[in-house]
Amino acid sequence: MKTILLFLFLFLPQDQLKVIQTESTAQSSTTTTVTESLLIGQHKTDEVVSIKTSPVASKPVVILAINTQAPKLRLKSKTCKPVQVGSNEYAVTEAGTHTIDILGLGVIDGELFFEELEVIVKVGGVIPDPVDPDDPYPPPTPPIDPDPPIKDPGLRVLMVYESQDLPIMSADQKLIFFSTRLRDYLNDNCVLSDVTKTREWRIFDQDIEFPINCDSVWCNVMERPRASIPWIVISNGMTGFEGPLPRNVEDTITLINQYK
Amino acid sequence: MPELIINDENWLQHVAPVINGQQVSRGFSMRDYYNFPPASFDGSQSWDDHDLELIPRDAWDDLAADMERTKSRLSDIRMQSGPNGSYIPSLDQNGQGFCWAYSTTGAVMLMRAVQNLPYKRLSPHAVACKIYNFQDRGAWGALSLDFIRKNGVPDVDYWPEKSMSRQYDKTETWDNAKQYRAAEGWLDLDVEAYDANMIEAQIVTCLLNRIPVIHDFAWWSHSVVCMDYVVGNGRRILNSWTDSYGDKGMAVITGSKIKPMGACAVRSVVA
Repeated sequence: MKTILLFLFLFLPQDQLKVIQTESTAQSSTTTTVTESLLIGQHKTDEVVSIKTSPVASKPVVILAINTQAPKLRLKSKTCKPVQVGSNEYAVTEAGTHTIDILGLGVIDGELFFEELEVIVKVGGVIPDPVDPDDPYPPPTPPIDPDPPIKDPGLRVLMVYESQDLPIMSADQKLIFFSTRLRDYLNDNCVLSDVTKTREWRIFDQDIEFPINCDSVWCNVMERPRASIPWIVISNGMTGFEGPLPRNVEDTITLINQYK
Repeated sequence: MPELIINDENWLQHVAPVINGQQVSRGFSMRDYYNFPPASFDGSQSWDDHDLELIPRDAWDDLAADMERTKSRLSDIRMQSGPNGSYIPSLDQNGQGFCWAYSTTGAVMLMRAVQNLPYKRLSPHAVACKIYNFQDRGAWGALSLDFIRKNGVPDVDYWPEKSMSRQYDKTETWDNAKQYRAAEGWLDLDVEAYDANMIEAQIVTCLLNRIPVIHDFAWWSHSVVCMDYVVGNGRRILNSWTDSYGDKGMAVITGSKIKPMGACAVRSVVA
C-alpha cells in the first residue's frame, strides 16, 4: 500500500520552504517522486525536484526533501523520528500518519528569519484498523495475526513508549510500565531466555539504541512499523498482536492472556 | 528493618558511619562549572532542551501515595529485578572515593531493570579508574555519566569489583561495557540556577516518572542515586555502601538535606 498525504499549514514570509515527498517499498523497489507540492500563497510548485538517491528500503519509507535556504533545520514529531539522510532530506520509516513540525532558521541579507511548516505524512505498512475516536484504545479482543511478529516459540511481549510523553499519559496507562503486578504477571507467563536467563518481555523507549548489527529478537521487533505510541507487541511464535497499548493493567493482562 | 531516615536533626551522625566494621568511603568533589557548564557534555540535555512536562507541586504527594499503593516505584522495581527474581543487591564502593561513579552506575542498573534487561552486576571502579588514570580521586556524577554514555561500564566478569588493576583495562572489557551504556539525552540539571524551586520540581518530575536522579550532596560529600519521591517531600536513595546500610542499602532523606549540589538523570539505556 502506498499512500501519500501532504498538507502545509503555515508558511512565513517567503516561499523558501518547499517540501517534496517520496515513498518507496521493498516489494517494488521503486520510488515515486512527488513533483507537486501545495503551498499557501502559491497554488503549485512548477519546478520538479528529483531525488537523486532513491532509497531501497525493506519497508515503506517517506523521504521529505526540503527546499530551503535556511542553514538550520529542525524536525520534530510526537509519533515518529525523522532521520536525516542527505542535505535537507529526512526519512520517515514509522508506519502511520504523522504530524511533523519543520522549523527553518537563518540569516538572509543580514536579516534573521525563521519559517515554520506543519506537514502531515502517511507512511504505508501494516496499519491497524482505524480506531473509534471516542475510544482510542483497542478492546481486548483483537484479530489474530496469522503472521506473528516474533517467530521464536514462547510468549514474548514488547511495550514501546516515548519517555517524554510519560507526564501526559494517564496514570492508569502509565502504570502498565511500572506496576509490579504486571511485571509479576509477565515474569510468570513469558518464556525464559536460555541465553540471558531473563523472562522475555521488554519495555523500550521508541528511540532506544541497539548495538550495531544487532540481530536479536528485540532489535528485529523494534524494526516493525508502529502506527502510534505507546504500542504493544505480543507473540507466542504462532499468533500475535501488534497495536496501541491498552488503557490499563487489567486490559493489558486480558489481551496478553489470549496469546498464552 | 525500619527505614533509615536522615533529617535535619540527625544528619551529622549519618555522614560517614562505620558499616561492617569499616569506615565508609565517599568521594564527591565540587563540579568544575567553568570547564563543565550544565548540559555541556555531548549527549546530555538541559531541562529546556526536552519536553518533559513539570508535575505541579500540589500533585506530588497524591502521585507518590498512588505509586506506593500500586507498588510501582523504582524501589519496588528494584526489589524484583535482581538475580533469580530477588532484589538488585547494593553496590559496594568501600575502599575508594568513587561514589560519583557508583551513583551513576546504580542509575544505569535501575533503568535496565525498568526495561527488563537482563540483570548484571556492573563494576563502577572501571569507570573511575579510566577517568582518573587509576588514581583514587573525587568527582561528581555527571562526569562519570558522560563516560558511561560514551563507553559504558563493564560487568564484574570483565572487571572484578573494586579492582584497581590495569590488567582488566583491555579491549574485551570495553567491548563488554558497550552493552551497558547510558543513552543519549541524559539530563544534566542546572542546580546552580537561580530558581531552586524549579530545580526541585524538575527532580521530582523525574522521580515521579520513574527516572532515577543522581544526587551529589555537598553536606555529605557523597553522590547517591535517588529512586523515589516520598510523601512529605522526602527522597529515597540507594547508597553504595552494601546492603548492610539502612534497609538493603536504602535510606530516606528529608528536610533541607534533600537539596543536591549537582544532579543528573538517566532517561534510558542501550538495549
